[in-house]
Amino acid sequence: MNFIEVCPNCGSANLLEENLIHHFPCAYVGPESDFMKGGQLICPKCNKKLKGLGVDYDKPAVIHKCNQCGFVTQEPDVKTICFNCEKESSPEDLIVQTIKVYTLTSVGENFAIYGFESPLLKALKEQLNILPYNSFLTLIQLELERSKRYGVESSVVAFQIVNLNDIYAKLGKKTDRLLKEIGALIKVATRKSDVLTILNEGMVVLLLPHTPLKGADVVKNRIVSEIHKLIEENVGVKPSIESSMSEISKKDIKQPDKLVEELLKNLKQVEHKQE
Amino acid sequence: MNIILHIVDWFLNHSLGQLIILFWPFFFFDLPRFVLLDILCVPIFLFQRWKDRYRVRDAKLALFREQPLVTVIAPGKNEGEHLPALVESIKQQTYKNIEIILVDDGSDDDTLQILRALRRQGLIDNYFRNERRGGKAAAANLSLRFSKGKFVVHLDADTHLREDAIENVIFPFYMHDGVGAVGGDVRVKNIDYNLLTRLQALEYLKTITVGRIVSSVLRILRIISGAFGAFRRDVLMRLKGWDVGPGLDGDIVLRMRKLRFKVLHEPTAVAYTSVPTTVKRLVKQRYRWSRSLVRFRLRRHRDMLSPFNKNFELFNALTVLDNIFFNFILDFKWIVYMFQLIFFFKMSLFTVSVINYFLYMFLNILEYFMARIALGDTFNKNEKSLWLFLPLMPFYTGVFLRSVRTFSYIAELFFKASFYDKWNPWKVSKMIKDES
Repeated sequence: MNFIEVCPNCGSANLLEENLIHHFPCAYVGPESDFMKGGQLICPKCNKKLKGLGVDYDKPAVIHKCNQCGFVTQEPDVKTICFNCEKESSPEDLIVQTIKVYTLTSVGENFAIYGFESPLLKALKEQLNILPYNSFLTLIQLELERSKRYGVESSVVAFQIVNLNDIYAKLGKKTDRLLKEIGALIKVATRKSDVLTILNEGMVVLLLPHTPLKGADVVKNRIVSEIHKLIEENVGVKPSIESSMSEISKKDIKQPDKLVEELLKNLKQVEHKQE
Repeated sequence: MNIILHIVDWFLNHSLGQLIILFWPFFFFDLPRFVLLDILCVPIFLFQRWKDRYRVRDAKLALFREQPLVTVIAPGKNEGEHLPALVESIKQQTYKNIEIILVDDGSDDDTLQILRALRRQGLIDNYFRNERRGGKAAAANLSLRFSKGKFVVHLDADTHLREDAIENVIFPFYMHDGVGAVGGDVRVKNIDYNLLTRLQALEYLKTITVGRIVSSVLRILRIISGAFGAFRRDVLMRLKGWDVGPGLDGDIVLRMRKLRFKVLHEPTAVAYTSVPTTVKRLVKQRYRWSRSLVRFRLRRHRDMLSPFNKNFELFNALTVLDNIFFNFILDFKWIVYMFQLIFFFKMSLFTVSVINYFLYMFLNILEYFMARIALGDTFNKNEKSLWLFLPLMPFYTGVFLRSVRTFSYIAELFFKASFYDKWNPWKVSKMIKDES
């Protein structure tokens, strides 16, 4: 909001500000320019040279002369101009109002784009046996116990399509079909005994029981390269997929959530290496 | 009954010559100056009005044909409450081309807010405000500096006008040549407030309404009330406006007369003004008025009396002389008269006083009825019933006002008291005193 002083007569902002001078001995009052003669202040009424401010004259007020219409006023009107829309109004007409600014948090943004349920989860749910994270952890606990007791070698694999958002942005609702394809692809690559869960957005974690790391690597590579191929060929976007895996048997980690944590840590490292 | 018989008896025991000598102030001064001149001049005025009736009509026609802009200025301090009524009465005028400029001279009440509101409503054209008080002359000069009209009407802020006042105060400029200023008749607005305002109303009728008709006929008008007067703006600009008061109203008239401009009184242009309602404030006001006589007539404009002055003009000299003689010198006659009564007529002091009372009451009655005759059709109800208070007038003018006047003359003569008057801001008074 910009406040400007305008002429009350014509509304022009072209105002000249000047001091009034009151010469005590002769009671002449006029703007300073009346008194200015050759750089000196000389009273136009009695032709005396002014001695000093407060001695024989003072400046009782300030006047504003409009250069547009010549109107002289002491109190020019105030006009406001909006910086945004350049609307001119007088201060009396302005209403004080609190304007609140809202920004969408990432949660809200996600909800706005994908809806309540993650589309990946939705797509995979239809074809695969997706466990809730807690149940998945229980199963890993089970595998940990089994490998300790019976020497079973099992593996955990995690992968994530990092730029799923880009793909979604490009395909929109059609992404659902792509995700279905991915679901089918995973289904083909895994056995019925394999269980999987989805962490966050687009992070798939697989538990491959009775599969040593070597076998798991094959599965992982197959899935990753298949997804890679699928996306690159159909969407035209180069997908960036991060993955990691770890073997249950060789780990002396007792806690399943620690294991998953380790997995995700490695995931980051993999990502780092790719760069 | 005894007293009356006693007075009549006393009366019959004196010859006419003795009586005249005994009541010399009345028979030698007040009777000729006031009674005889009134009886002479009021009929002359009425006759002139009758004779000029077509010229008046033509002058008004000329005024309305030309429609000059008339600037109304009203400087004042803490007068905010009176301003809406004043502005309203200006808006009601029969003459419409009026510019209103008000000046707030350092008020410390809500005058400024009232001025702002009036301008926002479009009721006044402009206003100015001095943050620090500059005095009445400065405030009037400020509005004069930014006025645009051909004529400037100066009003007191506590005045309001009859609806034809502006028209009637301006038309004399179109009737005579060389008119510099026209004064209007000033009556009392708050007549029915108390006894004091009623007595002042009678006094105004006597001194302003009748007094100025007489001095206008005799061409010795010396003052235009600050409460209501019209001036040609070009003449005011030539004089560079008002000089520091008190008494600036009379001062500017004399300065105009020195430039050989005519100064007229127009009794049909009527303004109503508020008069002081308490004795204290009345006394203060009269101190100021009386001092200005000494300050301006006796000191500043003494030159108008000298026949050797190249600017000498008989009627100008008479104006000042009349003022000095009747208002100033004769004011001291009552001291002499009192001494005379006390030392030589101690026995009949009471009788002489009673007779004097009746003589002066007769004078007041006569002047009131002169006012009725001259301007009765402009009287309102309050003014018409004022005659009931005529018996009190000798006490009011003869005792009360005279004492105040004498005291202030002495104060001004010997102590230059007006230079200390709070009516002017201290900064101005100091300057003026140092200068003189």
